[in-house]
Amino acid sequence: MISLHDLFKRIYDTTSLTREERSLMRAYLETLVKTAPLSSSSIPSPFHSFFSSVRMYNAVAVLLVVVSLGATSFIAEGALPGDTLYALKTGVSERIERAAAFSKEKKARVDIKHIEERLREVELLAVLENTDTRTIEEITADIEARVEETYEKVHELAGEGDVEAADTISSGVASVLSAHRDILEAQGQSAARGEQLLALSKALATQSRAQVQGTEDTAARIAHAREARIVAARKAFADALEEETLRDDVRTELTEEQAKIEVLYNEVTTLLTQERYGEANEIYEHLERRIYLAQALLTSVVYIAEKTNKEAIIQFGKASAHTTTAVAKQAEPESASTSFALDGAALMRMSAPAGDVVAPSASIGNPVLRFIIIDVEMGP
Amino acid sequence: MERSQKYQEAFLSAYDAYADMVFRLCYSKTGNREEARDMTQETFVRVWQRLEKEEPAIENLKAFLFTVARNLIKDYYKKKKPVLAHDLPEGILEQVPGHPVSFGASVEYELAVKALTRLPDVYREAVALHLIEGFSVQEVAALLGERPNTISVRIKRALAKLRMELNIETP
Repeated sequence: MISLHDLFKRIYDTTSLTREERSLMRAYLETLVKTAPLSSSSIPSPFHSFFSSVRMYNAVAVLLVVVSLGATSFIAEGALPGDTLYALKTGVSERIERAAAFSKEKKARVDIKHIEERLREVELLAVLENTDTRTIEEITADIEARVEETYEKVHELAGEGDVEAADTISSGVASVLSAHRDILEAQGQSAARGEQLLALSKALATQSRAQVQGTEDTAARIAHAREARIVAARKAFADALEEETLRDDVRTELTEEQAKIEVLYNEVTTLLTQERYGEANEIYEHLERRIYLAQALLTSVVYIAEKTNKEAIIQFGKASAHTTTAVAKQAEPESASTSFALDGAALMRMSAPAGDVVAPSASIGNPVLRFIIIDVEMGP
Repeated sequence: MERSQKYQEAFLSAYDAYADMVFRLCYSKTGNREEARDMTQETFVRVWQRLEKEEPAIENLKAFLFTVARNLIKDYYKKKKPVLAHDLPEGILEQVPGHPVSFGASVEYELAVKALTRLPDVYREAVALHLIEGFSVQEVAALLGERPNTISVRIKRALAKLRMELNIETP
């Protein structure tokens, strides 16, 4: 006969972390406490020189939405290939981070974060006009391998019935890939490494397409999960558009955007009824981003119209952060800010005093610096 | 700098001492090993972040860990409720590859664990904290925001219920 004492003792003795789990976790925490000590604010920001070069006067406010880098701010995080700290970053920090993520979903999230990190490195290398060809090629290979692994996890998760996780990861990869594809393409036009960047951009497009198609079963499950979300987002945007007081031309512009969204939505609905899930997912990726961006634009314009100067900036920051969070819930939190590159030019146009011609000079999304920069022309 | 060193050491020894406690707490609530591991780690990360920012008294680390873990569990349930509310009894018996198994998974033991997981949440929590984790009744009361008397009553009732279900005679 088992006694209660035995029972409690057994539970105590047998429900515990394995030795391996314990030491992995400890290694992770040790890295955490040692690289982000109590005086972490004294670690110099790699973006310091950028800040000092920005002119904050002249009625132009520069709004920086700083991308959250997660719990830890590793010193090596800003290291690039060739730097001394780069090996520490990819060889130690990232490995520990990955090993410490136990579930499949968490592992995939870490992978996405690292994929994005690699893409940022490529972009930064291009800006710095680094001429070491091999490095970009190596990083490209690394990215492709990681992306493939992440797809596998998506299929596994969907196969195990965890559609929500499969969908989250799937959207996460796709939004990272598509955001960076655009950036790389833009960079490819002018940067020194143009050809390589364009090639990588193309590879990302192909990979992203292959991924959303996936296997029939995964694609179907994911499509259904997305359907509900899109319906809700679409309605929220329509409601907001109806409710808010807007300048006529702004309303017209946003209504046109809404019409485009509706066209896409109808298209995707047709695909669903025909059980063409892979294609549906491809449109869903695009559609979802579009709705959230339209919503963000609307919210921001309303805020700016209502407020002045400093308060407007703060409120707008909150609105962006809020929308970023909304997007983040759909995708991978760490990467959401990159995929959320709000159309700064459109925002300027819509927020400027009626009738003013605004030069299309808004500096938009400098992802390399991990900021979303929007110049907003303020007040009289 | 010295203080920072002190905090690091205290934090890591708290990990050594309480990682399993936090893990058990998360595991008993989620019934899922992977989630429980992630939650355990997240608990420590959050506690460290708080230490960095606010530097609360180090003697309270155990209770503090418990509170953080409990909040994480609450968030988890908010997110996952429909799926996991009744997954518990099976989960806790899950065999772990590579884990040193010190007991035969006897039928008796399984029944006992099942009886334990069937207890109302407030009973199970009180029993687990007092008899498995070794918090004093006063400490449990403080952690759960209840009066010590309430906790004693819960523990007594829980034990009575367990004995009844398992046909164990009152000692």
